[in-house]
Amino acid sequence: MDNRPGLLRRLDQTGVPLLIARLILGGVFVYNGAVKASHPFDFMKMVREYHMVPDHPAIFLNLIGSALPWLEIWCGLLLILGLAMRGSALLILTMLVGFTIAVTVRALNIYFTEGKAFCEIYFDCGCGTGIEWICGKIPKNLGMCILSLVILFSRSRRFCLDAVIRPPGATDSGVEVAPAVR
Amino acid sequence: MKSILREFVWIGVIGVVISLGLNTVSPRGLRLSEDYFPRSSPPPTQPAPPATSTAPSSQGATTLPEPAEDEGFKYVREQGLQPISHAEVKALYEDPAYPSGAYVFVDARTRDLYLAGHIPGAYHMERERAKESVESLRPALDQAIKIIVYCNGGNCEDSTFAAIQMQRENVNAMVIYVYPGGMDQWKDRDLPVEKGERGSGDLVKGRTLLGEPHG
Repeated sequence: MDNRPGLLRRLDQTGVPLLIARLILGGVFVYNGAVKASHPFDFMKMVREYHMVPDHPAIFLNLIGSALPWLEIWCGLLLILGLAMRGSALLILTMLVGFTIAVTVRALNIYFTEGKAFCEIYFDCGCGTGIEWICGKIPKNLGMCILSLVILFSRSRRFCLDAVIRPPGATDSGVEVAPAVR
Repeated sequence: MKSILREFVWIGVIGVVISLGLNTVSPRGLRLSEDYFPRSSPPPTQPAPPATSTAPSSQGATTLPEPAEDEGFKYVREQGLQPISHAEVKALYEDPAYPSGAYVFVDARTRDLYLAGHIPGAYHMERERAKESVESLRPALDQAIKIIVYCNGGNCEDSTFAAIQMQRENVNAMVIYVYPGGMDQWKDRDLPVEKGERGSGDLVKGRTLLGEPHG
């Protein structure tokens, strides 16, 4: 019986897919978070445009405007460093699902009220990337969701600071890079 | 799976604590208790009289609100504020008393947009620092016969929010007017636009800036 791991598992064991996913997703979140954190008031105004959070009491919008950009930077940094990656990836995935629902609902609202073709809809989504076409934004977000899932389900800890701080055997999953394929 | 959820929770909690801490020390940070999108209180029951009735006359200026202004006028009145027509704003700008400070223009857009081009002589009000901003403008605001607040025009609400913030900082509500046409209309009529800081003297024709990005 062939006990060799499958191709995907072997690829995962190299740590390369995880590293790429971490760097891309972490980089995007740090950059976008920094853009928002440098202009939190403008970001809060963008959030308000979604009409998903009431203006009053003011604390709700203020909390989102003040905490969300820094939270994105925090999660992005953890991913880049390779610390608490799975928790960070889950948090980022949660944010991404929320953002994607929000932009889709807003685009559908424009679609039904203004009668524009769906792919002709664009607006500044407050994502830190300026004006975005909806038909480009949704696939981008879905792509980032896939990267989050790659991190979430990867069993490798290669190239991660986590592996240095918590040596193999001390992890919750107890999984370390397998020896090279024979 | 449990361990991932545990990690998710503590990363979230630590992240929020750090985020709020950084927001507090950031010079651009938001104040959690501040009402940045104020509404008039109590809600308006009587529309304010049209500003055109008290406008100083000017050559070639029409006193009739233009069709494009109707929606903006209605919105401003709904906020319990006084709208002012483009013709009247232009008349105030061209009035010899303007340079002496009888009429004060206040730009309620972002600082970047203000620097990219504002009505010549207009002051900038930072909405996220309304209290401090109004205090710094207080000498000019207190001696003004009319204060004209504007933003981009169209659907922008910053001018109405700024006007209400001024009222809350005890600026005389009777002299505050909102220009619904805003910077878009000003530029569209090819009136002069000042780039950079107030008094920079760097004036350009409004239409040369049409199509520039909005905030």
